[in-house]
Amino acid sequence: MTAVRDRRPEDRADVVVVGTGAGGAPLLAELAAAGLHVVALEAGPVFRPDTFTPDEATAAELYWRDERLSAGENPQAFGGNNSGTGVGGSMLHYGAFMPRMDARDFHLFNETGQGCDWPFGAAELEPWVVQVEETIGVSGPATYPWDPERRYAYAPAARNAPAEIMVRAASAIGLTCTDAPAAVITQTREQPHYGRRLGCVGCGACHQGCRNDAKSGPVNTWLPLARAAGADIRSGCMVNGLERDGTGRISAVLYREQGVDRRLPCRAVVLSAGAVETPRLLLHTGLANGSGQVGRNYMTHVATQVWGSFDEEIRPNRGYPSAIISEDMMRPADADFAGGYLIQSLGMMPATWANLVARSRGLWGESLVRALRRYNFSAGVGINGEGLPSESNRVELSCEADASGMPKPRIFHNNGPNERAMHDHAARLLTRLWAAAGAHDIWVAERAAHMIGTCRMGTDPRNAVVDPFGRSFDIDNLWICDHSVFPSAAAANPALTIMALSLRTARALRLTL
Amino acid sequence: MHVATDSRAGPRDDRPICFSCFGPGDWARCLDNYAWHPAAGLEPPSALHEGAWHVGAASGQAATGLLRGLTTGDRAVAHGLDALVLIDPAPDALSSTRHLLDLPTLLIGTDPDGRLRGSLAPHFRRQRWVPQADGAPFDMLLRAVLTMPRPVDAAIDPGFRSLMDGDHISARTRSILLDRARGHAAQATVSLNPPMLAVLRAVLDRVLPQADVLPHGGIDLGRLIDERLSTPGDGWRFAELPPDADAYAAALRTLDRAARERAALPFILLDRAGQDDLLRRADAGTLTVTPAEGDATLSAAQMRLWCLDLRADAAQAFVSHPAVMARLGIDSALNGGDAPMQGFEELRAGHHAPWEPPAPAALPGHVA
Ligand SMILES: Cc1cc2nc3c(=O)[nH]c(=O)nc-3n(C[C@H](O)[C@H](O)[C@H](O)COP(=O)(O)OP(=O)(O)OC[C@H]3O[C@@H](n4cnc5c(N)ncnc54)[C@H](O)[C@@H]3O)c2cc1C
Ligand code: SF4
Repeated sequence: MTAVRDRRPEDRADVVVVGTGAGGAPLLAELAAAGLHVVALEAGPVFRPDTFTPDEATAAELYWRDERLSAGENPQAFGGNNSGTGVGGSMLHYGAFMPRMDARDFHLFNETGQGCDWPFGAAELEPWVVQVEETIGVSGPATYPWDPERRYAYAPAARNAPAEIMVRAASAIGLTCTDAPAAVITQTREQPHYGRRLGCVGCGACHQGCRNDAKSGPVNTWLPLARAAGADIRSGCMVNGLERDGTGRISAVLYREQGVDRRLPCRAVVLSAGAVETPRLLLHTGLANGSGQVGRNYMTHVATQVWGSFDEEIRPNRGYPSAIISEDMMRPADADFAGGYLIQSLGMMPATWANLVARSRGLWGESLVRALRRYNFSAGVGINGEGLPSESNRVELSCEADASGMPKPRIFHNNGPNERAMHDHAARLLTRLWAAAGAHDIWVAERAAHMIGTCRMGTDPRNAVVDPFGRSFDIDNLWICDHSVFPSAAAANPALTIMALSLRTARALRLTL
Repeated sequence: MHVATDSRAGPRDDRPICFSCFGPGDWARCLDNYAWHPAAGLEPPSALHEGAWHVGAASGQAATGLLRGLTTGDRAVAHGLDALVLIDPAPDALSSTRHLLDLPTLLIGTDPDGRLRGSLAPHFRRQRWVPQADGAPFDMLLRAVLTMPRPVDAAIDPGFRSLMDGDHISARTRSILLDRARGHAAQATVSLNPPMLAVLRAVLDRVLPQADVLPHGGIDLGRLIDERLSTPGDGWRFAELPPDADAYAAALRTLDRAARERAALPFILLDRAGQDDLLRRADAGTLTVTPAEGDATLSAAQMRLWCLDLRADAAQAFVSHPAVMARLGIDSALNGGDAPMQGFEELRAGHHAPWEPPAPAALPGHVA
């Protein structure tokens, strides 16, 4: 047993934020700007953008590496799809596809009797969404067909070959599509307290980290703001406990730094460790679970992809990978499922693609090699769609501990009827799309993406973990601000909504201190 | 010390062969059993001149002792040796180690159950096995072993290699790729033991045969995967499987055990059809073996999951090797230098910038 030591005798914080990703970073900047003494404890290291490498095996250094156990009928193959670690969280390797959440998705239950409603609507979140877009830099088309009022600060990223193919094919089958909103700047920008960020050069390695700082993330936006306002961001600090005072409030955060156990007293704590690590910490400490909902309602996005070979060279590694979007399937007329999905064109790096081929196509021997040889002639199209909360999907603790001293999480994932119906619908549509594009050897990959839910927000303490601002119903100075508070998955890729919620939670938290 | 010269030496390897015999019985056995008679060419020890091949020979117990000396770093034992001849060595002489011996080795001994080839042989980077040595073939065989090249990965196509030296790649990426291509002259395997690594290589030959892409010799996917297994991995595993390294060891043991139960041979000695049959069953979730004390194996359901992991690991390792990237014209690693970072200007289908590596023509039709 190592003794628990305060880092410095005078070391204390107004607010400790656990994790520096989409949920933690905006809030850190807001709270620091409000004059609070905030300390971020981040389990991962600091990465310098100029050391990122497109070599995918090496870029695995950006992934969360502490082992997660994938269970259920559709165990998730995390790997490159896993959440990240490091100062900046999963946004170090995220794809920067940045649609706004559809207003209808806030009220899916009301609309369909399935899923779960959010405790507020799109209008409530919109000002925060706009603030996020302005702060980080987002590109998109001049006119967005599904929301003509919307404006983007930057011209869209250049269309690569899969993007051009999707545009051509969509017009052939009557599907509307346009340049995707992306958290990718397309011309030089002076970022306050950070410096010069260059425009996207289409290197294609967004998922391995952007060396150009064209991709907007915590590292080149929120965290420099937070530091400039006095926030203390500590890397390599794995939180593994929460200490309570006599009244049951959180009095200190316990963490391990280079093998030494430390303690940081605080007035409030925000858990922004992501939808697996946040419930893991709460289940391990046994806190904030009066509702019994911690770890429950684990959700993913339906992330079906369709790939095909073309006669011409595609070189799917070139260019911003997901340059085209369609929102036409947000509520398809012929849907036999609740909710909807977004469609995006897909380029992909070779090892990520090889992994997909190997896990999806059931090929081996000469036919596997023939499939792999087609990399340079392959283009894809994929979806991100609503996944419903379900009793059978959850994060729980296993019996094996890891280096943090906490049990490894076991994640149950089963596709329900709604997910299967959506997958089938998308597989049919995208196959038709790719056939119209002239693809041959078309194949479908059944996938799930993102880690969502597990500490849902709501108005009823009996079935929600936190209130509509992210405050625990059980412990009034414990807040949750990350992907785990989502009551429903919603079709939109999540980072924008998480960041908007983060700003909103920061405002509410500030008022309590 | 006995010294032999060979009267029928070929033009390239006409150096005399000089045997050092470990254990008193060994030399006698050589003399008695082999038609090719080293004694015929005996020379005085002074002939231990520069130009001779120095071969260590041992049998039975003495062979085990010699191997132990070699693997425990007893430099004096191996000093000056160019090759080994081991006669009837114990098949499990190295079974408790992960050592990979670099010395070319000729293994002699009847091997009805394949244990010599399945357990001991994989510890030698360069080896040949013969059931017994008789007549001229022994001499030729020994010379063939002596001149066996060290296995190396397929070379990177020169055009691609020069792009790797250019300014369209970062210094870090370049060194990662060069390291990967260089491989290791490691003295030991990293995660699996050598016999299991041999099974893995045999499996990989069937799961991802490389000849269509690298006709002049492939890359050592087995070593790449063995190394991967000792790293922190990618942060997940199927809950139904043990941690990756244990899962691999158990899965390979299961395949090997299945081969022995069905064909009384180690997996690596089965013919292709036999290997494919076991792999097909494993992939379908129908391969079962009798569990044995102490040695973990996987259930049929676990083998099915492991087959997914294996294919994924193999496919990723394959396309991440610069020799393969070069052959397929994959330029993801060449996406820009340190400063400026150029990225890709040419994004159109059917076009590539003049500097980009050419892609071989598309394959028509369906892959399956
Ligand atoms: C491959 C990939 C691609 C994606 N692409 C997109 C996209 O294109 N568009 C989009 O909108 N979204 C995308 N996402 C999703 C998006 O990145 C995440 O939803 C979002 O970052 C989640 O934010 P979070 O705050 O919940 O967690 P994270 O961003 O994962 O941050 C959690 C942080 O907490 C740290 N942490 C965890 N536990 C502890 C602990 N105990 N102590 C200290 N620190 C801890 C972690 O190291 C991590 O840095 C993608 C995700 C992945 C994985
Ligand atoms: S494609 Fe553009 S945004 Fe993505 S990593 Fe390259 S430069 Fe950055």
